[in-house]
Amino acid sequence: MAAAATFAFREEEPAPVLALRGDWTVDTIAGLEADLHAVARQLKPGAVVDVSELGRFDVAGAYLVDRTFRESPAGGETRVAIRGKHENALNLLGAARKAASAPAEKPHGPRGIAGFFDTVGRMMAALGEEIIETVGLLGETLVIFVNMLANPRRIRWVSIVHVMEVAGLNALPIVVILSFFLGMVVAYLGARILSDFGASVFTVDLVAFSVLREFAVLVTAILLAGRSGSAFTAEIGAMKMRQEIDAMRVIGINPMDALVVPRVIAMLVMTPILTFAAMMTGLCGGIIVSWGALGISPAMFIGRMAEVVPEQHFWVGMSKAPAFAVAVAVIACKQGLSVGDDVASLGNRVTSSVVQAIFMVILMDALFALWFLEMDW
Amino acid sequence: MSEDIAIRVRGLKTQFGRQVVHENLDLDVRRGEILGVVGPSGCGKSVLLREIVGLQTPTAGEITFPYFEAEHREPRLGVMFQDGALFSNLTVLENVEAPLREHTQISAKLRSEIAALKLSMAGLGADAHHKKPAQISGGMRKRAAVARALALDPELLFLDEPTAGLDPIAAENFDRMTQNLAHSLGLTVFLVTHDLDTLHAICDRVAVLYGGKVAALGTIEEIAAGAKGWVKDYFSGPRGRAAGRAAGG
Repeated sequence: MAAAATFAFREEEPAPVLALRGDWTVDTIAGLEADLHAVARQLKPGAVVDVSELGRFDVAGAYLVDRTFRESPAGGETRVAIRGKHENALNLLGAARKAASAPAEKPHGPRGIAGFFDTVGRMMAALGEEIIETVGLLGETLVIFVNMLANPRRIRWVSIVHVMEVAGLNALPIVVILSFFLGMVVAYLGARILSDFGASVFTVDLVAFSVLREFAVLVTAILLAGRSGSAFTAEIGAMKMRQEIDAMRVIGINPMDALVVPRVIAMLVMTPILTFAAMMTGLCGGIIVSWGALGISPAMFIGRMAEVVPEQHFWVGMSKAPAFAVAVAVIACKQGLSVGDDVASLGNRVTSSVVQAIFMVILMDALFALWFLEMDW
Repeated sequence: MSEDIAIRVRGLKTQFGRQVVHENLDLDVRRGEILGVVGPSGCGKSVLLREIVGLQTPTAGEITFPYFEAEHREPRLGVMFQDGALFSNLTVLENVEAPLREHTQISAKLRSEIAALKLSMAGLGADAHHKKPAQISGGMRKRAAVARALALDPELLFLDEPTAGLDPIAAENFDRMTQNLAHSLGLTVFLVTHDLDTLHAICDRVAVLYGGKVAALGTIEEIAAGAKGWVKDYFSGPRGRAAGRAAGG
């Protein structure tokens, strides 16, 4: 067990003595600082360190002793003289003196009001850059996509199908389950509110309108952003960190062809399919609640739906799916390609990927709503 | 004398599935020496290092620290991993402070001073203190990693390929730094390497791992003199001869 570090300071002739006792190691020196600081002022040139009763000693202990001497009025010029025998005290004191170096001041930018504007300015500049780069990547993807259509041998079918399975098909269970619950929730809301007016049959309209036009496609896009978009960013980002993307470029493989475009195409194909599945299960949720809570039989539900809900609502919902798919995939790939060398940037980029994708999906949905309203669809 | 043995490995066996990496491996590391461990790629050098520091459990056999057990304490270990493994969200100075923060009650001021001292011992100046690991060169990262390994004043220092990826001058400086530190701080160093210059320049003894065992152990001259098979190819190939000539003068 380590012996506690203590010391005794004696005024002797010709010079004072600092006698070290016990183990002076990184574990034991924590409490000594203040006392040693007081001693430092009394150290005169020629002071001696007595190490005859010193136990274990290490660099941290040596540094503390050396610092005490450097803080003395005589300053750092005096060599630390030793009395007594110790296996490594002399070596360690020498090493500590030789390497002593003050920690550098932490650099900091402007503070106060200037710092506030500095931060805001940087954020705005970064935001502008981010938008330009994302739109740039979208344009590049479109150009390559058109080129690929003209030259189908460039299309990487294996990657596309692989991404379709991992990012699309494997998301099917979670998408249909969540959409089912959402359909149930909407039907319950309708049952609660509309039955007060004796208009509970309009629950059918409510469920059909909201699920077909909005909820199915939104829930699909948001889940894909959280589930598959984050995976795209992490994959591409990790490849960037391990220089795999540089390796691709050197070999002559365009990372756009191999990584970005297949992901965008796969999402473009899978999102409408998932949206369709989400619509169907959403309606199922609505049908079950209407049946249980309102006594509207499934046959009646479907019959009324066919009567009052025009087919165009289905197409309005479906038409948004490809747009959301491209937004999620392009944002995810862009963030992945922007990952730097360090782990922190990977985490930041995955976060940005999900946040930006969900933000973009909801913003686009609002714009779509406005447009469809104006077009009276 | 068993008191002078810092690390004792006896009957070590390591197996991953059907693949046997070590079979009945014995090795003694003396206190205060720099032991170089060499061997072909995939012979289990890094695995042995991981087992000694406790990151991995061997299939069979035992690893003890006789010198420290005689004093009834556990040795302090410092490990430098191949590419440094510095925490990328901390600055260089914070990386070195991290072990101190975790294991001691030292005041913040003294802690950062000790960290600066360790960095300076490893040859890094104050301009690197507040940079992130991604902002400094590979050679500097290795030095920072050594400083972190030394943060708690270990008695046993493990270095995994310390000079890999460094230019010859940087590698030589790094070797000299390792040797100085080992001597002035009284460290026992377990050094996994492929660098023949390092073996010649600073290793007191060399252990050759081959076929799951320590195939040869001794000073580099002893090993080169009695070399057979793979060991001979290793030390008397063109690189081995050049390194030997350079070290011989």
